[in-house]
Amino acid sequence: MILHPVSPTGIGLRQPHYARVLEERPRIGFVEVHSENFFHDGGAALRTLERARECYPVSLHGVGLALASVDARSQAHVERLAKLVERIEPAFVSEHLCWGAVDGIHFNDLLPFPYTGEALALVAARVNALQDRLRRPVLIENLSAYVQFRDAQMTEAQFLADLVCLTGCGLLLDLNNLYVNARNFGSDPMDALEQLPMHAVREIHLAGHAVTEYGLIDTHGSAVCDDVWALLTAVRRRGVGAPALIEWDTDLPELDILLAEAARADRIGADAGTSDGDRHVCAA
Amino acid sequence: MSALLDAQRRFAGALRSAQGEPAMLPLLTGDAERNRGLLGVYRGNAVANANAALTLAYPVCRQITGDDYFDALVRRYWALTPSTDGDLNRYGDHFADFLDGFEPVRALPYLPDVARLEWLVHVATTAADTAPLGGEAFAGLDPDALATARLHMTPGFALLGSAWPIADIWLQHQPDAAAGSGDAFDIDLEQAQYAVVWRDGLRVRVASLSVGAHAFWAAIALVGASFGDAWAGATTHEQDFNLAAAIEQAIACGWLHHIETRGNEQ
Repeated sequence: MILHPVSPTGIGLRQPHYARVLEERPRIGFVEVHSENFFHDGGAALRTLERARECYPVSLHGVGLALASVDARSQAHVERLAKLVERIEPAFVSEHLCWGAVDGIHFNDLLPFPYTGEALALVAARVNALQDRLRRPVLIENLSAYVQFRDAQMTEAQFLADLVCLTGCGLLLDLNNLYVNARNFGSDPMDALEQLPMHAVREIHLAGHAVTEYGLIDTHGSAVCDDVWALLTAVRRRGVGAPALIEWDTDLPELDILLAEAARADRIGADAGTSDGDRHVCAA
Repeated sequence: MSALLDAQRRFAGALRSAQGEPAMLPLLTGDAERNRGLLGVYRGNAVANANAALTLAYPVCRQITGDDYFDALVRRYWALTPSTDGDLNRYGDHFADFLDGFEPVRALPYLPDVARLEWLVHVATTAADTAPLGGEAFAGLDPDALATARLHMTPGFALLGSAWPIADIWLQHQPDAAAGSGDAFDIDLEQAQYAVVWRDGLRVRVASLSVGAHAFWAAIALVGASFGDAWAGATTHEQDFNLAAAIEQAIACGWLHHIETRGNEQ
């Protein structure tokens, strides 16, 4: 077994923590921000991100491209992202496997769609165009979806595996999303792990969810649950060394809580060790 | 039509209104009642995201109306004017126009102009960072060159005239406002005011201007008038318009970006 080092864990950098992170510069692997919050010509937020970039690798995580929207009108959005990428020189650029806009209305949400051949062709073309424009590979994140479509011809994991083959994009594996979906739809999260191309995983998201009358809702508002930590262990044992990220957006706690979660992720990486097993071969 | 587009249109219908649910439900697997609830969760998310964006852009309006009333305004605005951009920070540019035409807001007649001012502040917050012009830029100009010169303002600089004291209202609702004034609502609501918005380093500032100063800077910044024409215009609005004081304020506050003289920029 060949052991690979696990890259250190990062945290989502949110406004209430800007000052402390820049002052104390905690030992973390990288910081991640929502790209759209920095689509500016200037100002305090952009200045903060540039200062953070002097101390850490930065991951630009998009929430607004809505790649699977048939009626996207997103060229201006892509150009703003390209400008930010040029300015920040990020370690990762990522987006979600979702749609969000139709007939000129943008819902500014990460919405699921039926995993069909038509959708795959559309999303692959969009990802290819995005990578051509940015002149770099992007990472696509699996979604937390609360509804499923009758028309689906494949699972989300199969869809992502095909997308990786068609575009060469990387995967942002969100283990909380994987878990939320499995619980809500009564499937085994390990099945999804089996179907996903582990060799393409470049980043891992860890977050908390809420338990509601409608099932689990992906709120990014609490600590990572034990089952999701167990999924991280499973992924590390499959040889995935990609860095994890603690993602926390609502009810943001003190920075120390995020750092403790990041330290826990680091320990799991160190304990599990990694191998280069589980290579995935694209189907012809 | 593409099956994917059809699905997205049906989904959109269910997000815009519960009346759209019946067209969407047959596309989904699982229990219809549960799916109905889940579509409601998505619908709530869409409004909540719009609300977060407007709360960020219009914090003073939110303070003035109170949280519940503001939430109701957002729901109505979102129903009439949904977002059209993947960047939510751009959402809300028509909020003031919406308030103008919204009958229940008539009890707060200054609210639309406060919203206009807040949008200018919102835009200035993320305007390009530039180095403002110092006073020395005027030193080498002879009077003739100055009269025909055009001044260009720094990004984020904006003006707004109102029948209401909008600059004072805005200033009194800032987090650091109450300390000096004692009474947070010590404002003469009958007073019309000209507000100026600008970037002071990374901070955004708001102040009020005299009628002459407003006329002078509006001619320069909005009409592109020459220095001489703007001055002449300002004196028709305010006989005692103090040009030296206006220039001094502009330099001290960092409003000026560059001076364009005939065939020369500095």
